[in-house]
Amino acid sequence: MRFLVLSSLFLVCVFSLSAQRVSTNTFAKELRPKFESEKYQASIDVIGKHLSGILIFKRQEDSSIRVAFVNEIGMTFFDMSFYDESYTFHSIAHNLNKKAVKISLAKDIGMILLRGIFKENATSTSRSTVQLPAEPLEKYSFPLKRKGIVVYQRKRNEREIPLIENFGKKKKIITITQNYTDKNSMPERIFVEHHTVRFTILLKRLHVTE
Amino acid sequence: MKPNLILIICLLFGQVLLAQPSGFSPVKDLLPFKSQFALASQKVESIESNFTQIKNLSLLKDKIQSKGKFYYKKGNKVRIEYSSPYYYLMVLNQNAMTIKDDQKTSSYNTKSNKMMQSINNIMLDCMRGTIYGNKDFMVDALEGPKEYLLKMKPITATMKKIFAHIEVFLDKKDFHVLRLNLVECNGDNSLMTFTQPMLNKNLSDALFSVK
Repeated sequence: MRFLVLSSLFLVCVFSLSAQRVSTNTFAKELRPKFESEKYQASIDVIGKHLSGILIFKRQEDSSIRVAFVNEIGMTFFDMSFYDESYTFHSIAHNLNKKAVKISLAKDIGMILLRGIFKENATSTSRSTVQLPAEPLEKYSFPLKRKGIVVYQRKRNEREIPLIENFGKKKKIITITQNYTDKNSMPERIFVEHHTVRFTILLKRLHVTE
Repeated sequence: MKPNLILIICLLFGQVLLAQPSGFSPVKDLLPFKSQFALASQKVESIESNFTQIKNLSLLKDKIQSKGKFYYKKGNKVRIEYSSPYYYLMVLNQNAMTIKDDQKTSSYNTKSNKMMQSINNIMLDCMRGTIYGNKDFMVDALEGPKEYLLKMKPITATMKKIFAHIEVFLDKKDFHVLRLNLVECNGDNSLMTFTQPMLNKNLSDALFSVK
């Protein structure tokens, strides 16, 4: 009996769960990566095809994020902009110009940037806090404009988001893992893995000076 | 003269000026130029050169600089080896293209990839002096004090989707390619500058095969 009481007290102390409902934008803005311009070495494997090149993220004057993917010989695969609640393709290579590919690319990049893909002013957005002795974790859940939700997981009071997951109605669709070396910048390595199709994106940060 | 007509004349005149880079004027006698270019290229057995490549992203107001080594050997063999900002290898041997990055090695038949095929053809045409035989482009030849400029305008639908035009700058002394500028329809361009060329050096065939 004494053990049971102590165990219960211990669990109450160390494992408390809280949830809030706030608009999507409030939390999404809080979690967004902070940067002006970043370049990544990119490898995209989609249904047996391997594309490689450089992916560029650049903040624009209107605070939107421009994203361009160019191959090594300099040809542009795609060029797009992410705004708070929408995105647009400025150009895309002929062989990638398919609706499903564009939706998938926008979702993957939108998940990393926390822009353009979430339902506006959704009420189902929640923040749940799992407090464990060693690693207090916060989970943020955002409903997508299209089907499903995206869950962001980070340690409490830290900026890094090591894990991003996209869930459909029944199963996990995408897992994004992010590795950091500098807490106050973009991830050093980003790996996007689709679980329902053969589609992966690997990004390695380039430290180049112009 | 009606104002509209003046405007049209001004626009046409502006177009002509824009189409012709400053310091260059059309080559007057095209036939000797073509035969000299072809003759000079026939003498080239191989080329080894350094290159820098600057990709200008016009709307992003950003650029990416790459560096590496370029090799050409008679028999449709090209090796482009990027060393910066990261290692990347592209080898063309006849119609087979092999690309190697830090993730994997991929082989393609250039006939199945129009973009790759066109860039390879342009590279090979520059080296072989067969630019005028390229069916995807119409070529205008211009000359400046030290350089020739071959301005290639796409004429096929596929190439029109990719390129606005391509500029090939040749050294007037020996018709060697100095720069290659690929200008895309969205205004982005990729400028390759070749430096320290070594002609007719004995290049091993192993350079043009990737294991």
